[in-house]
Amino acid sequence: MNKRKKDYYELLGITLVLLSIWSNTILAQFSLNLNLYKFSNITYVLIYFFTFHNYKYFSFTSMFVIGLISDSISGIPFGTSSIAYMVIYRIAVFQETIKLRTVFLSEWVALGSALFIAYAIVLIMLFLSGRSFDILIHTYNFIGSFALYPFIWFILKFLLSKYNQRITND
Amino acid sequence: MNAKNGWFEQSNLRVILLFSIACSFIYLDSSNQKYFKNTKAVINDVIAHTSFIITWPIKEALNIPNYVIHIATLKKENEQISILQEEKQKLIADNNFLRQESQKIQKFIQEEKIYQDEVILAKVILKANTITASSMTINKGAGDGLKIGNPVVKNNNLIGQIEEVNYKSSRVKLLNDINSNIPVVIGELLTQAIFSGDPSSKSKFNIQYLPKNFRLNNGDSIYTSDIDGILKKGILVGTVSDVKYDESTKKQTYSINFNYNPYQTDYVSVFIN
Repeated sequence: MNKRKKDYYELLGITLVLLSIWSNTILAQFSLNLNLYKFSNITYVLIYFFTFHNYKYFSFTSMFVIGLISDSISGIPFGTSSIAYMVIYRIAVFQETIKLRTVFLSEWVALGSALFIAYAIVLIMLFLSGRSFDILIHTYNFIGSFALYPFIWFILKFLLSKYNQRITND
Repeated sequence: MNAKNGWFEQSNLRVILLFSIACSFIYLDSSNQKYFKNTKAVINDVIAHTSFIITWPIKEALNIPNYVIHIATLKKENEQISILQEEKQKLIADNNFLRQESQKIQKFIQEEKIYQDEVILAKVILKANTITASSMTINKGAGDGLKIGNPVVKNNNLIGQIEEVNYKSSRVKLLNDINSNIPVVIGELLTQAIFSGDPSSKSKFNIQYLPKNFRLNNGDSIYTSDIDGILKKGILVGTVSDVKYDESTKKQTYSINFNYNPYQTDYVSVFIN
């Protein structure tokens, strides 16, 4: 029973990442025209968080597949998001390996570098494939995602620790 | 972390291989390679329909409060409808003129049926609004006669254009997509211009290539033009509002009003001819 619950716990990370990709479809009826998508990319932040916190189903292969799903839904060239997700995953793994996780600031700075590289790659890929893009919106999005991380970190840490506690008690 | 995964995940080969595959996908996708296009169409179909099946229960669960409100107001609506129907019946029975009008309307409805034959009704199965693209996926594809460039409408209001056709689904590029460029005619003089998506501007849209010194007016309607030979002419795009002209910079700012929000639309029609 405990093992099954542990598996659910591990699945939570990948489920949240997929839900963030499908969020436009799911939340369309609640659309308030706030255009929040402009100011942050929650998928990038979630991938970084769950990879950094060592969740089971995060790997290069899963990042590649999730990237293809994201590209298929949004309609940008196949493989663009896969590269961005794999870069974020690689940097998060590196940070986790060198054991900097006890210091939040290092984790946050590493996220900044991961996001910067991921955004740069996406822009280069869009440019090479001949699609139009707006650098200003990408910059807002990068800053927004970076600034959003402490809030997401705090909320997820709090909720996951509560959930973990319940599993341990059971 | 890596200890949990298989040999493939532990090997450096995976990094090189997956990055190479992703890069070659981007290259093949951008160069419109025929075999890759067919494979991508199948992948797109699978992802679109699977995503729809997965997200459907979540959407329905989130929509429960709306259903409850709808049921609560249903009785009142039914009473109002029955009162209106009774009034209508009385008026029709008493007035010959109205009978003639009714016959005219029926003729019009028959004409509308011919018009409807050119249109395919489609269900919106996915919506995407990101910084790179604004699009939606519908459940009709090449098998239903859809082609790239077909206009997608909601009650004769343009919502977007077909951007990519798969076998059993298609992607619609919405008007606010940065890559969307629609030939249009504006106002009473039917001035030609290009209506494009511009996410960085306040109105999120841009009317380009207007004649020099052309001034927009509040209430000017924007209709599609058939100048590119792809779009059907006369589909309403939107109406211009909040026009302000700055004398010093000689620039005008404006907003565009739409009758429909594409992100709250569940069914659309596609002109296939």
